[in-house]
Amino acid sequence: MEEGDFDQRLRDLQREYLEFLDDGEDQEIYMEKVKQMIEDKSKRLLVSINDLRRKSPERAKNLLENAFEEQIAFQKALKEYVSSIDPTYAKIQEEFFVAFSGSFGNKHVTPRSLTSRYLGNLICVEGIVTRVSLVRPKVVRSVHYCPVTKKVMERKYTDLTSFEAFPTSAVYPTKDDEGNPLETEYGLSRYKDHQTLTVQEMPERAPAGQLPRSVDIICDDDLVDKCKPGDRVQIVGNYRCLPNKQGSFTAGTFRTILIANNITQINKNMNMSINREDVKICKRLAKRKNVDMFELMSKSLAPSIHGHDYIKKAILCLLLGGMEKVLPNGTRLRGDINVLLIGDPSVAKSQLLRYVVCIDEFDKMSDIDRTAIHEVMEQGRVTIAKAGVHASLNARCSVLAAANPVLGRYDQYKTPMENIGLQDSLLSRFDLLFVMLDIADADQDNMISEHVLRMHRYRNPKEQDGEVLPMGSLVEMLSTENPDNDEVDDTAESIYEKYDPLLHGNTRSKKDQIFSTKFMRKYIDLARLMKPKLSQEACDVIADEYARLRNQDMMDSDMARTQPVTARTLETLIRLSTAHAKCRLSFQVTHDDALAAIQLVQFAYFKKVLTKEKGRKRRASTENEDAASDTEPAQPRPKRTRKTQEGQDPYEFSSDEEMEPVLRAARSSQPEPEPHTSSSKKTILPARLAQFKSALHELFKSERANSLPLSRITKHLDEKYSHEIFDSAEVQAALDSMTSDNQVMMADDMVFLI
Amino acid sequence: MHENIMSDIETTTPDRWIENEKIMKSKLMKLPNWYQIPLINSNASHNLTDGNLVRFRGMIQDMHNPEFYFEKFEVFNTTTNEVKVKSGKYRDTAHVLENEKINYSENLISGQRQTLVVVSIPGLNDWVQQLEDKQNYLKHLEEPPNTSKRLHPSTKLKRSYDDTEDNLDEMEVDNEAVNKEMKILDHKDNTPDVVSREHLLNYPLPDVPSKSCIVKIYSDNENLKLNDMIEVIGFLSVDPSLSGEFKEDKDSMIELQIESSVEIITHNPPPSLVPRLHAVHVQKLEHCNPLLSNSVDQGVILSEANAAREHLLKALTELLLGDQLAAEYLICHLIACVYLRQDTMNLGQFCLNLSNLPTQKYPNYAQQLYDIIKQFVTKSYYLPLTIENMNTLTLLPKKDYECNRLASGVLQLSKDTHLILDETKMEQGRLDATGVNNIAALGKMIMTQKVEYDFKYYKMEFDSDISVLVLSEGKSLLPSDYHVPLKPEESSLEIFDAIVEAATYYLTEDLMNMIRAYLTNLKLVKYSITEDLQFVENDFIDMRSKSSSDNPVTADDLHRLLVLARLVSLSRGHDTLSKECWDITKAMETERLHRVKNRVASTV
Repeated sequence: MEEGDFDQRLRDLQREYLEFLDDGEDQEIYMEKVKQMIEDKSKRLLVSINDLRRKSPERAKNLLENAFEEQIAFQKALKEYVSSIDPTYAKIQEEFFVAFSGSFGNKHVTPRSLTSRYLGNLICVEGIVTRVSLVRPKVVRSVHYCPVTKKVMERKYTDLTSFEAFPTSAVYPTKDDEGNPLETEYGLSRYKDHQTLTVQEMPERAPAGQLPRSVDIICDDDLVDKCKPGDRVQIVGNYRCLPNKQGSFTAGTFRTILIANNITQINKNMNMSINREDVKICKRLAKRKNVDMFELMSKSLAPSIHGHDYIKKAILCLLLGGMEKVLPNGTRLRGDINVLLIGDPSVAKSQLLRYVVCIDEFDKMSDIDRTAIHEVMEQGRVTIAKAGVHASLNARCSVLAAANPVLGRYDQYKTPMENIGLQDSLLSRFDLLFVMLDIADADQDNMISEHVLRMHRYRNPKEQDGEVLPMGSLVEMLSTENPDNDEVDDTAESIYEKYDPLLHGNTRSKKDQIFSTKFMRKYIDLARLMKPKLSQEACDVIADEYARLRNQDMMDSDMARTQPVTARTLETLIRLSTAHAKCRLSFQVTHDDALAAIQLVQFAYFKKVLTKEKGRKRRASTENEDAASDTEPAQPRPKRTRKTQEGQDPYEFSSDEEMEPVLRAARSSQPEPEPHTSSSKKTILPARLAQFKSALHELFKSERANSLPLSRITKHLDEKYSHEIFDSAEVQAALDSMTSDNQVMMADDMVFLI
Repeated sequence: MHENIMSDIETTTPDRWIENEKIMKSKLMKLPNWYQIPLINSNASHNLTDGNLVRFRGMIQDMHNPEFYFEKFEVFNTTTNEVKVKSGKYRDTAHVLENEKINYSENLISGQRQTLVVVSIPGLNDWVQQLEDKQNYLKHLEEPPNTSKRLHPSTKLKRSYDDTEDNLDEMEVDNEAVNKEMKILDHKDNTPDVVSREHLLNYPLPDVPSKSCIVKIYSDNENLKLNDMIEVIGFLSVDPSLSGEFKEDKDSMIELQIESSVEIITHNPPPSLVPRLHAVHVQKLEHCNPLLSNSVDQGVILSEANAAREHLLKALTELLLGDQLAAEYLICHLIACVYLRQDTMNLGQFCLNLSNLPTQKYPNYAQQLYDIIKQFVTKSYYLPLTIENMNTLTLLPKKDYECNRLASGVLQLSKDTHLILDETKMEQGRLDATGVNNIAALGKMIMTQKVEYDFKYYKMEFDSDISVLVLSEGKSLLPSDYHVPLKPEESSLEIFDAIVEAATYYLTEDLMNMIRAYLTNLKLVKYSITEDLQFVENDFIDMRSKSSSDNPVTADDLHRLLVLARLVSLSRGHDTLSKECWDITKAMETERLHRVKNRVASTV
């Protein structure tokens, strides 16, 4: 290429870029930005590639592909523009720089995907800074004085990293053209800061079994010391090659470096691996009406562990977290959710724990350590040590702990509190406490053995060939050709784990989608960012439930709780419902979220009692009816299309485990009601009463409500017993009888289940 | 015909290879074996010729950043005005003459090659090495090297402009590789960046001689993982000037200095110590047993299994002082490998803890036992768990950012390596922080078959498949999958030394080879469990119903039984689970648990 041509082209480009910057007639975005830059005494202007693409697609494309030339033109244009605004400032600064941001499409890479085809491109690379050199000075211009001729001469230096076409010699001149000695005026010479970094691929993106790769970065001027080792950064720069010399001959190889123009720290909380496509997918998933995201997510957690749906849900809540609140008076209400699993040895507790940061063998910690955990759970940071293994817990972390019962095995005849053997003060800091029991049961054991056998039968084809697993969805997404055109198809596949009949067997139907761990992580990261607000509705529901729990706490003496119900329970409810709302990516904590939270709390707080009763029963009789609900505590959550008027958990009647046996007990042990004839008087025959009760039971179950208007009940009765209609007196009598047995309550023609 | 091919292969050069890449490769693949291609492991590298095809077998120890090179470029000869196309593929230096100029602006195609550090397979036992050496012995390499053959024409040309080497005459070039080591040592003394030979070789195991190669790989689809065992065929590159010590100092004011000098030296070790290999063919190795034929014939293996097992059982029973149960478990342990990883579960791991060793009478019993085991298995390492070892050894590999490489640790082992931990050597003392971490690392590796590599800013887990045998007096402080307290017979206890001697007579070379092949073969055999295993399900349900707080039975127990059942079946030459083997397995576990329990009772 001719020299003249090159200059001419450069001037054309410069003019185009100047037009882009000088947007005084348009939105004045960049005019403002440049002014701001001058005001800040900065010399780097941040330009969004997206803005440039909008205004001049061709320039944006060329900039990405042929960064070298375009960037010179851009920087020259910037200087020109600055001098038109503030000529003095433009004179002070030798150079102005342009930093880029925005979407880089396939130029958004990791150190691994950075291949030689990106040479000369403007790229954006992400990784962990592993090495930072000292900041060294680099000479830009030296000034020399010749004592003989009394002349001062200046010399500029460029190297391969600068944009000037030809690198100059690195040696200071010591003699002028005539051979007179020169003195270097160090004070007048100009130097710039210079630093090299090494950025390594993030560990979670390196394919399994391979070592992470790295790339060398050069930063000059104001970019030095922008990051320190260990930081996660995103660096935009010009990818270039430098010829490599090996000894004194040409090596035939070359090394590559990235000349940075923009360094951004990746916020630790905000995982940058989430891009717009992901957000779109997540939102779309969250909006789907027919699928409950919460349900699906919790199922995807530790799919190899059978059952334990509620616990998985709780762990999901823990991962999502609640909302931290700092009250005006300075009190901090923590947002983290803490969960304690307690149970017989080897019921997959530790396996569940492997999914999160957690403390296993909680009961085996010394009291001192446990006290320390107190602190963590409510506020601070602390380091604990068990058997010499140090675990450092960051401030504001969630605690998921597992412990074995005091006596090694859970004693069903003791109260949960006795079994757990931890102080109430500590227990109350756990939002949820689950008791995992290992009960011998033929059906369940059969399922376990099938599950185990299936795993042994299964051979992972990839594992077998020892192949490196594919890099996963991230890379595919980063290299999506057109970043503005969200292509979701290629990523959609990787969201779900592939269904493998051999591995998963018939316990999981093909329709049951299980999210891949990668996607889960992404979704959770995204969901964590949500800051949902409590709606009035939800508040009411929670308040009601809390009151009820408190009452229950007072009243039901025979029903042992796993945890004391305190004001913390209220906080727990709020946190859990917030987590549930986050899962739906909703900005509001709604009625439904509150209900889901209540469900969890009820399961966690009272489940134990139940099991205990069942245990006794099973021993006493062969009644095995409950076993099913025991092994499968979570039935699919009902679709809430019907509107329930009341805030109580609509699930309650149907499967609320503490109610069921009480009801049954009431039914069976009920003394014969006073004998009455089926007259118009307020009496009802026992047979009729039984009919009524079963119909009512059925209705509450099908409606999944625990309060219904009287009219609805009568309607149902009419439908069911059309051959022998319950007249209103009979209904009244039946209800009265049930009221006196403390089974229902009537108010304003509404029947409440107690 | 093969001889012709072989001579083609022998005399090929990078340039000739590039011309006929496909033909040459297919010729290479047609060879029945590659014994004629010098194996660096068995032949001293100073006898090998620069630019010729050689072989190396080893484990991938480190992966460096890819290297960009000129795949095709034009040079312009300033004296003859000729334009020539050259290639930098399969070599470390572009063969550019003094009067030639590279055309950087046009017709330059760049390529990318992977750089791997491959070390000789850690823990490879002597018998394997001896067999390898025998198979791969090449007589002509022992002859004094032929000067004209050794000095490649291109090397000569390069030398002419390479002024650092100008003073070397041809004779010196010949001897240079031999003398190199001396020279480097001399040289090192007066340079500030002294790095040891051990540092450059970076071998996982301390005090074991080893070789390393830097392998450059040109194809992308090899799917190689860290710690894989590979065999590489490639062009040898041992130009002494590749050593980092010859790198010139640069002016840091202008020139870029990204690497520290210690990194340059680490990444460019003297080629005489660490030869470069430009791979034309890379092959993953499933095993490293030279006794095995190339193809796995499942039927033959299974039919021969029982005979080998009988002999092995007999020998091991004697060596374990008449304890047949322990011998059965030990056989299972020797053929175990991880066969499924799912979420957080691993299936197949079989860490065996043999306790109650007669150390009172025979303080070195563990070591003596190991000396026999290492005769059977291809790869093993004996690690006495002394306080000193624990406090000083580096078990976990660690990324060294200063040198930009992965500093190896003892636990960086390829799959199917047997690690024998001798706890009987543990004495009173205090574990410091390193010691505690090392013990924790061993425990974690045993439980999860994962090794946590330290990347300073984060930890990264790598899957491992290391069979751990813990030998101890009481129950080991480390976790184990199967704990068998040894039950020595009084009579055997008296005459153990005689037993060892008898065993060495009994185990003839032929018998040993049969057992060696047997142990490796069974790891390669495919095993399946049929769908209708009602007896397993019924037994489990039955066991669960008998489960009590003293004897809890859980899903883990079923896993353990099934893993053992697989090995019991395989060791007897069955590739599927039968009722018979299942019953044997159950009986074994019952007896073992009985022993474990009684042992506890006796101590109380």
